[in-house]
Amino acid sequence: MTTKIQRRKGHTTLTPGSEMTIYTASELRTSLEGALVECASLDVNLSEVREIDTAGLQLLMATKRAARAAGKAFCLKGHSEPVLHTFELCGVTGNFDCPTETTR
Amino acid sequence: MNLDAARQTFIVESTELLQEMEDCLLRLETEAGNKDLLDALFRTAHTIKGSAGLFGLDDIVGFTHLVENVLDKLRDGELAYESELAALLLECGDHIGLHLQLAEQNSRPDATMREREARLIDRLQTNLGSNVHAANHVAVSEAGDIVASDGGPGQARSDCWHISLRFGADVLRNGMDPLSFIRYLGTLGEIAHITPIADSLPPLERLDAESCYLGFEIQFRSQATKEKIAGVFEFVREDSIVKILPPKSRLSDYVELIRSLPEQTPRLGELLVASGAISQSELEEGMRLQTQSAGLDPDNLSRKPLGEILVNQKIVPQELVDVALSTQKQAHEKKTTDSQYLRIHAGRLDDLISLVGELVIAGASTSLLAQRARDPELKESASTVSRLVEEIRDSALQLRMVQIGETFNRFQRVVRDVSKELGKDIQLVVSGADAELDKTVVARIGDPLMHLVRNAMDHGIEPAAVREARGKPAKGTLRLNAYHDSGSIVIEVADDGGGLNREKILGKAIERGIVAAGQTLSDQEVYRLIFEAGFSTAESVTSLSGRGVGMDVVRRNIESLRGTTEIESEEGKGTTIRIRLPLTLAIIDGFLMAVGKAAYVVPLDMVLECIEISPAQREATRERDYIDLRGEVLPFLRLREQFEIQGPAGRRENIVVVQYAGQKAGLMVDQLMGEFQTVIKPLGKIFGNLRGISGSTILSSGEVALILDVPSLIQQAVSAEARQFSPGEAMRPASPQHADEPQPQPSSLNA
Repeated sequence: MTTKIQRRKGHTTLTPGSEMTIYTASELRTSLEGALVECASLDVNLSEVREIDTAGLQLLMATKRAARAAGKAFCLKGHSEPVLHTFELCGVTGNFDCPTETTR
Repeated sequence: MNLDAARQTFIVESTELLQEMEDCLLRLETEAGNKDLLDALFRTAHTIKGSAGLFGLDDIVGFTHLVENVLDKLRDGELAYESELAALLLECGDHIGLHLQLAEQNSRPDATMREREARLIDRLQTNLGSNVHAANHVAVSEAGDIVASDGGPGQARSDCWHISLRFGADVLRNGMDPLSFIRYLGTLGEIAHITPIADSLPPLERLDAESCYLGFEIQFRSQATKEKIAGVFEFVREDSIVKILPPKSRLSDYVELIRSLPEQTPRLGELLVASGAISQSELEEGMRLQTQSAGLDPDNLSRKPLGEILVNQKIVPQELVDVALSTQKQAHEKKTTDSQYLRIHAGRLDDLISLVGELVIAGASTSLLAQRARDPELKESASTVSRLVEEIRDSALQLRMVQIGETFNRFQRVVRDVSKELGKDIQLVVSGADAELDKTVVARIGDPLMHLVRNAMDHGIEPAAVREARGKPAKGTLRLNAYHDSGSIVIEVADDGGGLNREKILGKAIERGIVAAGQTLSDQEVYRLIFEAGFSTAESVTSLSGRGVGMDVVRRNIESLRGTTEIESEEGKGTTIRIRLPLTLAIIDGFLMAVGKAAYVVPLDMVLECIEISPAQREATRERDYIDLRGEVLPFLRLREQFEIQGPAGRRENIVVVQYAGQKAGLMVDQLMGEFQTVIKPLGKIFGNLRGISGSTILSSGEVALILDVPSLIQQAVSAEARQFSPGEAMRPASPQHADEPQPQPSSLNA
């Protein structure tokens, strides 16, 4: 599964593939950086993610910071079960200040 | 990373820390209870212990830990800082210093040192009192294992383990996911709170997606042992920071933790939450109040600091806020000092200086060629270059300059210890500590100064009873002073003691056959006798001085630095020994002159004026060695005779008037060649006994010029003149070194 990017009037939704780990992190970083440059607001849809590790987590944190620095809206959406577990484990749920909604 | 280099840095830094520790201990004697000093003191010991642990120097860790415990009690006010404890701690500092020396040589402590250490440990444990048991326990394990039983003041309220994790950058690449460790940790107990620390996370565009940047602060509720918890992180232990504090740890352990974490300017709130001393909600409450109080009082623009509010609300003990704040401040200060100082290997600096020396020589040769070429543009460019070279030379030499204050401050300890030993009450007054001089000179002046200081305290300053009888304050004063004077630095060691006893010194000198009976000597000459080998007038030999070794070594050391000594003394009032040293040993501004084909250089700072000798004067001076300089008698030396140069005298002759330490003399030469930047090259060992020459240099033409030793030439000229006018015999040579001299010139003490 690869990353999907949808653009609509400056609003971009990026949907990472099933894996957000060290194996995909480098590629995903490039996508995120590119998406952020082009859009006015960015959503990251986490519904497809089956596996996330520290590399994926810190990538999301860095993207959030970059969005805030550029004055762009950034939101995480559709947290999958594994993502929710990981967020809870690391105590980062409160760090992404948008509603934690699940696909279910 | 080169471990040896790191170890070297550790030793240098720890030595500096020990010095700081000593300074603090000494200052505490006058500023009892100064909290900053106590904190600084504790920190020095703690840092030494911590870094020693990194290098596996268990001896240092074990011993320093005990010292640290005592310092901790001192800081908490459980122990009083008395002179006995002060002495013990100073000794402990010395002992750690010894350990460091051993570590530097990669050797192990011997039996005597072990014995000494055992005695020190005994005394330390007596001071730890009822906690002897705890101390023993600590000596075998590590700090932080101490689990106190109740949550009194000075203890955190939290019943959780506190775990601080900072993962190494390569953890992910090595196939380990930090999250899996945390997940596993969860199986040992309950993760009560976890805070991700992403301070080192770089901006997205510079993020290396495969490096790990995260850390965690975890509050962990569990019955597991420390070993078991530490075991979770076994695989990442090597390249990560893993700190584990047991529940209800002392606040001071949290303090250590906060200090040991890498974050530069950690937010106060984060620190407090991370310490587990307050919860997130307590922090939020504090935040809300901070905003509120600012809102209620719009005139008051300065918001109350968060820390203060938390204390007022009794949410967090003041102590912990202080610590968090001081960490923030330190992080800030550290940044500023980091940018101000750069640690450089001394060898590199020496290389630079010697290159600059070569540059000066090459530059001078270029200027000479430009002069000869008679090309105005080339001349101008050459003069710009030589001006720049001069500036480079000055700033390069400036790099080696250090303030003498640090050397002076070392004597606080010496004076303290020696006065205790002698049972005299002596204070040290330091002035001119900001005078600068070359690092090599500083390094070599320490020992001679030490001798002079000890000597002044032992022989100079009288016992209190005698002082009172003489109407002086019972407390003796020793002064160390430094100032710059015409290209030299002058260091004074002055005491307000009994002064030198002229008759006694003279009597002793005659008894020892150094001076012939009936000889007339000036006060200066008599005083200088104390610099003779094996000369002591002290009635009793003490462990400190009086054996007569030392003062001649002092003189020799100072002479080897091209310096001189001078004594001023008044009976009953005190003695001042003045050491005059060149500021630098490498490059000087010189004055170049020639006799026949030979070139000579004298330091420009010592040249007063140049006089052309008229034919009439020449006639008049043929038979005598002095001239009338504006009504003043000026003795002079003919360099031609001095250095036995063949060939007839030049058509015109000049006298260069030089001055040193208040005495003047003339040097008769053929030709004056002007200023010259002189790179001093030492003479070979074989020329070590030559009098009147202190070194050599290379001229722009590639020829060698000799650098004249002005002080000794002046002495020669002045004493030759004195001999002409005094009817008595020339006195015995002042030092054995002079007596061995093959030179034909009779030498004697200066007048």
